[in-house]
Amino acid sequence: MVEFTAKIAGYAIAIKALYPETREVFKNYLTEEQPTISIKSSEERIIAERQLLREADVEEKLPVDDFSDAEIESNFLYREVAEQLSTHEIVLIHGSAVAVDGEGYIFAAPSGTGKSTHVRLWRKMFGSRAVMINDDKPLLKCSADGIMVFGSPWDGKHHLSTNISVPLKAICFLERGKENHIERIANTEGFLPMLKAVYHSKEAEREACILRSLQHIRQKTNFYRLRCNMEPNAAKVSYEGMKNERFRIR
Amino acid sequence: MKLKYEFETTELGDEVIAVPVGNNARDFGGVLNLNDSAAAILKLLQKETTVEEIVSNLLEEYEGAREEITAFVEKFIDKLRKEDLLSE
Repeated sequence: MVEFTAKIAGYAIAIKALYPETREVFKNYLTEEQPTISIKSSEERIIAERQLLREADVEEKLPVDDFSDAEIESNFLYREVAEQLSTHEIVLIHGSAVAVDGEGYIFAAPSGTGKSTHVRLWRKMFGSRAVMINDDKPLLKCSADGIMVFGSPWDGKHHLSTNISVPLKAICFLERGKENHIERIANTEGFLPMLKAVYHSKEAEREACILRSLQHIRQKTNFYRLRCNMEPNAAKVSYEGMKNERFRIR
Repeated sequence: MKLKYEFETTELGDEVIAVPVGNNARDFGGVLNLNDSAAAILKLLQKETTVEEIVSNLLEEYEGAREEITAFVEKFIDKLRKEDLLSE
């Protein structure tokens, strides 16, 4: 057993893992704080997780059988962390999250649409003004002050992430297009695509918590729909479309 | 009759969004958008019930003739049946 405590979205979580590689996954999130949540991996859980991924495989074409046990364990822990944090007003969203001038922008879209590619254009445009929060699975936390975006150890194939948290500025649903165009959408319209992009629990009570968090996020977030190509101008169009929202009269 | 899936619901404007939960939730692969009377029927169908029971329940909550409500219930149940959401 490999034992360590990781602080994720403000919660110290004691993790007992089977593989030393797993500690590496959490290396930027380790803490000495007293844990309030604990998660234990086991061979049975790894087998069940592999099976679960194999079933998802049919739709998403994941090369599940090529995954090492350690990679499967990391996936199990992501699922378990999302489950445990769901009752603490935290939801995990599949998307690429970037901070510019201390505000978080999340791009969500089905895999392969080009979220990471678009965010790479942002990083090119902004240089050090842009900080990658997480390229794959950032966390959203509801609080009295608003919605915060947190990094997580599960940061996609390019491992782009930073252990930071910033206020959420916008959620943008990305589609590929020939031209670059962004528009604000009503938050009732943003709800369903957001629902599609987040982690869901099969346990009724946890799912009820997740739905409550999503309602909270919906009320406090600006949503956008972006059609974009892969030219540098796409980043300019999307940033310009979202940055000044607070000054617009509705 | 009874729903094959368990749902958690949330309101969105005039609509109700129902999200499947439970061990078979993954087989469902989507969400339901309902109006509030359809959502009330869905809620009743979480337990074993009949069209007559559902209609009596709705008559307590909604104004309308029994025939009208029965027709609505049957139409909605037919939709659920076509989507293979019911076990009977």
